[in-house]
Amino acid sequence: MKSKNTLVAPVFLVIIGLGLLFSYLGFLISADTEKNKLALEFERQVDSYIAAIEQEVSVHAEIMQNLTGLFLASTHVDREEFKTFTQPIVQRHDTIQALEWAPKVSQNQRRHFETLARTDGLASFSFTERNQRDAMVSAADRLEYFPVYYVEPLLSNETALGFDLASNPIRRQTLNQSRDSGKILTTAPITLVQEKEQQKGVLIFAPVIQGSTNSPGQRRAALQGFVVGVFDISDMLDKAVHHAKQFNPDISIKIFDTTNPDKPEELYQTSQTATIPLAEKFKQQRFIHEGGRVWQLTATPQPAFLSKLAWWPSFLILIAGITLTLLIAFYVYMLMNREKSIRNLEKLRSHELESSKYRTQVILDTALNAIITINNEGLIQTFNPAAEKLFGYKLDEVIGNNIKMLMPAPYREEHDGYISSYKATREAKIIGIGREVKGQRKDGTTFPLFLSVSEAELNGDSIFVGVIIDLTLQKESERVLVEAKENAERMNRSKSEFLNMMSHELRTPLTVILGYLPLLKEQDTLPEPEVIADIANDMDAAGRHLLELINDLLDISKIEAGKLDLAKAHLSTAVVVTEAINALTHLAAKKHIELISKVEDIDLFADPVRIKQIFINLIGNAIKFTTEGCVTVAAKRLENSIEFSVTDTGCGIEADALSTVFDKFHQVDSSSTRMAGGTGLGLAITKKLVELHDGEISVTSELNQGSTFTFTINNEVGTT
Amino acid sequence: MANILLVEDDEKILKMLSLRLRLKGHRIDQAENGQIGVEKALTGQFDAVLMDMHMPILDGHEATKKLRSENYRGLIIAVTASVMSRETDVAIEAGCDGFIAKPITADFETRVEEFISNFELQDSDQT
Repeated sequence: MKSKNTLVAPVFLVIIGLGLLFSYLGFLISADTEKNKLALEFERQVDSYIAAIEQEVSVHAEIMQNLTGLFLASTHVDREEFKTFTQPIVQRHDTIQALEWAPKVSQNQRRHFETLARTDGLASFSFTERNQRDAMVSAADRLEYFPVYYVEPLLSNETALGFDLASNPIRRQTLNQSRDSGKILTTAPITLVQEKEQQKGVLIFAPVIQGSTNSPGQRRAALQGFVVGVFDISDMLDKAVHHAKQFNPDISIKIFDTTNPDKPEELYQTSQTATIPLAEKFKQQRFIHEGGRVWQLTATPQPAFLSKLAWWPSFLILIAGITLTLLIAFYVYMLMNREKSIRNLEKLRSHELESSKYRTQVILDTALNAIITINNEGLIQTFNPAAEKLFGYKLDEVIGNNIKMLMPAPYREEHDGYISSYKATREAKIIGIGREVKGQRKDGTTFPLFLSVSEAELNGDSIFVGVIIDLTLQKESERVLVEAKENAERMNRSKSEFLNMMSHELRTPLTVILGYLPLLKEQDTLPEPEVIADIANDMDAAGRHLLELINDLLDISKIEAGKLDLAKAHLSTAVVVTEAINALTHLAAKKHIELISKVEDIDLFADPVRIKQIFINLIGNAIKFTTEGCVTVAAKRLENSIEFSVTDTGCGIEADALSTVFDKFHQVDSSSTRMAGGTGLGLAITKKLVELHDGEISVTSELNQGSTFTFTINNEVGTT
Repeated sequence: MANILLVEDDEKILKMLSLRLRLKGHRIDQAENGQIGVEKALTGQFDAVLMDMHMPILDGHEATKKLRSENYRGLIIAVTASVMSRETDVAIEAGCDGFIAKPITADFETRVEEFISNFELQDSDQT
């Protein structure tokens, strides 16, 4: 998710970057195209200038050629002929300052020529040269002179007449080259002799060589002189430029003589304004080779020319490109934002879904009730942790298995039938209702549970959701409650029963006493004295029995209420048993029963009164149920206690009555008890007294052989 | 003078009752439980059977029922410990003709004699 977000910025930047780049490139290409177009136009114009200049130059070269032809064609050309021939030419071409004839004159011919000229009407004619102060003086003596002999027009060229061209080194050099090469040559720009304004001009020398010549030497010899053209070069170039086919005032022209590259000399220059950087790129340089000179033409466009450069298509492309780029970028940005917000929405939705799923899972996982879902074939699909705990199965042990595995026998067999019958009839026994059934754990044990089942639709299929409440504890506490209730009822019953029996037991001796009394109340009808004595004995026995009963009842109620406190002391077992036997000797003797003590002298820490009572009860009981034989008392020392036993040779107790002999009023046989006497409470009291001494009492018996009562008394000093 | 069968498990009470009735000149036979009582009643000729209700082996109710089921038509008087309890109803239901409460009072002999004479009257009316 994050990587997609971070992708937005680069993509965005790349789109903007590429868009701007292409817009700029388009701009450049367009601008270049426009510039090239203009450059081409500029070049064409420069071409036309060059053509015009070359045309002009060739016109003058032709004039020189024609003039040369004049001298070659005639043996002698006089001053008048020269004038006639050149005058129309000069008049036609105002760039021609002068056309001259400069014959080769040797030193000894000088005089002849000067004289000849004067006869032609030129009174002051002489060969001249310029001195160092630039003044015209008579030419110095030299071997060869090339004086300006004829000149047309004469007017304004008078100063040049007679000027020895060989006197000037520049002119002399060109003259020599022209003579040697036989070619028409042009001088470097010079200040014209004729011009007052010191105008820049050039001289063109055309050698007049008679006959055919092949070498410089032959030509030197055959040389007659030079036809000289004096041209105002500035004027000439200006005229050529202005007459060019495509004159453009917005192109500045500079023409320099660069024959000597180290020393360029200006020939012509149009007026020009400040150059701008762009103009440098358009600037053109051309070279014109004329008469042995090299003229360099430099054409520079003026701002006015450059202003024709059409920028708007380029800017239009640039602006359109930038606008398009921004639009595309904006669109992409919108798209991306939209995608991003869609993604965010998806993320939010999936997050919500996750959290809802998680919440459901947490509920299932933490629910205290077992929750199990099954499909409509009864196969377990989910099983939550509470279910795992309840049934003892792990999740993977049950998933996909039939739910029957969790049911004990009767339910197990019925379940398949139940599901199919539900599917057929939609008649629910548990679904939507819930009921108490039994479950079976992994270890095979069963337990009660309350099962409520709901039906749900999931992806078009029915599933059943079972929520299970373990009823084990509830059942257990129910059982405990029922037991407690039954116990309480039993206690209550046994209490009423006890009261009932007690009242019966108390009533019996009273019935005897009260039944006899009416016989003794009437003096007149008193029975015989021996009868009265008999009655008195019976009443005495009944009274004592009543007393005995009341004492036993008090004892038992005291013990049961926890009110009987033991007064423990150190005693001798032999002494206690002997005392008990002595108390009963009389009773035993009457039935001819022997009382035997096998008890050795052991120190005993107990309540003497209660211990004696235990022995009297047990021995007395034994005597009652024994008709002949003996009653034997024995003692045995155990770890922390002393075990006593009282054994008789009496009738014994039936096996199924053994467990109840220590219950109150639960005589083994009422009639025999009655025959033997006793309250029916003796053994109950005895048992309680033994228990007060942290001991236990039990009985073993064999019918008609006798019974043995065995009890222990805790003998640890310090225990109560 | 009447022949009376005493069915009573407590020997002291039996002795006392016998003495009381003998001193009035009645002939007394004794049974110490219901079982013996039933046998004696069926074999002997008694003007009345005094039946204790609480007895081992066969108690008064069972004994009375048994006698009635054996077609014994003689007078059976229940001697019960409590006149307040349901015991009297149970005794009548079992087939007793009347009841006397324990402990017995001074007019015990008189009450027994009244039961006998009333029963003989009824008996002679029926026959």
